[in-house]
Amino acid sequence: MKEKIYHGIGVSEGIRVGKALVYGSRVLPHADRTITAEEVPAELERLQNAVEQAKKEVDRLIVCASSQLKGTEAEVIRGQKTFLSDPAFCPAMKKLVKEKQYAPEKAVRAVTEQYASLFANMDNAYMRERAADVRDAGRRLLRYLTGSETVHLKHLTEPVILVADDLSPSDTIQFDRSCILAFATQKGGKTSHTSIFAKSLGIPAIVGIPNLLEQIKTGDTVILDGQQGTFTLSPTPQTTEVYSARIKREEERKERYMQASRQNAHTLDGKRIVAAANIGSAADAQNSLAMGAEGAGLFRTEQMYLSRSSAPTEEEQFAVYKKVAKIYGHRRVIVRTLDIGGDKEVDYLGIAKESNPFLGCRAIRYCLRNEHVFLTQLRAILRASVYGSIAVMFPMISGLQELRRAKDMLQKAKEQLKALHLPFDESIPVGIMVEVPAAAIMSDILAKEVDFFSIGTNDLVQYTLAVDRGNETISYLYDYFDPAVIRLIQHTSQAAHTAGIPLGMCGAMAGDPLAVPLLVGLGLNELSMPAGSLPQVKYLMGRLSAGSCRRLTEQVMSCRTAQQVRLVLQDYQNKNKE
Amino acid sequence: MIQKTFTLHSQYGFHLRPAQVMVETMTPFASDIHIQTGNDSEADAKSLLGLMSLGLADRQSVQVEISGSDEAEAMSAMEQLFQTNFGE
Repeated sequence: MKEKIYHGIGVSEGIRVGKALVYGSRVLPHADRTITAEEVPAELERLQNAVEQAKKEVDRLIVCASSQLKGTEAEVIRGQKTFLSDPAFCPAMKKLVKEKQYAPEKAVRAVTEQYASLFANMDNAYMRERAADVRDAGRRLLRYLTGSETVHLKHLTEPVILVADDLSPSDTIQFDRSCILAFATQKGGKTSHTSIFAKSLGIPAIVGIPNLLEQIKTGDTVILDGQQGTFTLSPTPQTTEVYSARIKREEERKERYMQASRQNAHTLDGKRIVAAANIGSAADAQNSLAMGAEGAGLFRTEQMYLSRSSAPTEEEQFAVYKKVAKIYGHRRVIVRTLDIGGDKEVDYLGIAKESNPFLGCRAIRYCLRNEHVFLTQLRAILRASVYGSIAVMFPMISGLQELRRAKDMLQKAKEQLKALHLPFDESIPVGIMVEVPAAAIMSDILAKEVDFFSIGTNDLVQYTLAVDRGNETISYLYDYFDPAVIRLIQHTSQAAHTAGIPLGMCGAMAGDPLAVPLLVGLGLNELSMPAGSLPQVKYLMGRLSAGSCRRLTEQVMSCRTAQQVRLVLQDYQNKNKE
Repeated sequence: MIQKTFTLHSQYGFHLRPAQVMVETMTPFASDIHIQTGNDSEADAKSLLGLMSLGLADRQSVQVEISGSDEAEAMSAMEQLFQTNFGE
């Protein structure tokens, strides 16, 4: 067979060579058949069985999803349940079997396609993505109709490169992750489910490859390059050799990174900078240690509140915080109090619909209005503080009064625990996120009343530049290298150092290799990032000198645009290439 | 059987969320509840897919037809939905 090269959108980096497994695309038997009148009752029963089994499977996935997946993913599966129980979905299929004598497979296809194309033609991107959910519900029915033909992704025995038309959340949730080398799909874009999933697991992936399924068969040898977005079917020995050499170089580089990640991060000239992880659960905490985390610079507590119907109790929260504290031992864990509202909705918390949620009653503002929710969480955090090194951090602080009120609440929680004779760390460090521009501007005042700062770049950029990061029309404005943002960071850094408190950063900027020298130069004491970024950033820090970073920073501070800043940083990066 | 005509006020048209609200609100009722539009299309008010297929736009008027043992209660729940613009 001749080598054939396909191009798509590389969404998750890495090169893999392996055998292809073509998933869920085979043409099903009896697909376009019509049946005789005598067959109708038996075929109806077969359809009914498939519907029931599919519903049961979705229920199982929902249970499974709430423990494994983030809120949005679980929601997608719940959406499928809605379709399967919709009076216009399965009943319409039965009607086609009864009245038009369609084989159930044909009926399922017809109805699924009808609704999928309805969604696919809507002008809202979110609605268009729902077409995949409808098709997924249909595919699930087809799988049950055809019996045991499907590949069970849970029971793969050897590593494969998964090739599919599209992958849905209910496909991906079933993966035996140790057996998937990479995946490639015909459909999908940068923000589709598959892409997000691949990135979060660190599995190389390419999506949106036209005509991918035309020739490929299960068992064919393929090479997938997730960085370039190239997919090679039946590679020649020469091509394989080129890629093997690249894989080897990549592995060597990764090994250097991993070695660096095992040591505490410091610069060439000995400046210590804590490299910490952003986590959302005990599982993240465990995983981050393997990547060299020296603590958790941001423990997001929202996950506990999502995908459930009532707020987690003090005991439930205590158990999670305690577990995380113990995993990190003496390493610092910064627990951020509930940052809800904005784009994160939780029904039972009774957050009113707002026309401008990012400027509305979110995070600390919500907590100060809902003392009961806030005190429950603070007590749980305090009680966990005796099991490790815990600090508490308030999000979205915009001024001194808000900070003082939050601290009063912490004091109140302490007194409640004292009355119950429950132990806690009396001198638990208290910090704030600096993510509202007002807080950055007033950081000299705020610094006197907290133990540490952590700059949250994602919101700081959004609020400073008045740009919604979800809005693609203006996304070019969303840039943490904008001089306005960098000046706010510098101002905050000066305030922190004058007051003698440590300054951290969590958010996308902290894990960006291009930004690291600048952040070192700006005097950051801790960088907290997704665990996957730690090895590279730690390696990079070990090759920087704080002195040269400070000189770089002076140069950056004189830049007038984000483009200039990038050029200066890229220039520095090129000069210091590994 | 009772019938009533309503006008939809939903800035972005009748998208997923209002449709979900309608399905959730109407499903508990035993009555048959149908939504009809001027151009002869009809959907079951307990069906998200059916409602989405209507492709209702802002300010469009629709006829609601309810028949069954709890038709009066169902209609008043429906009125509530239109009055509050589906909780938007």
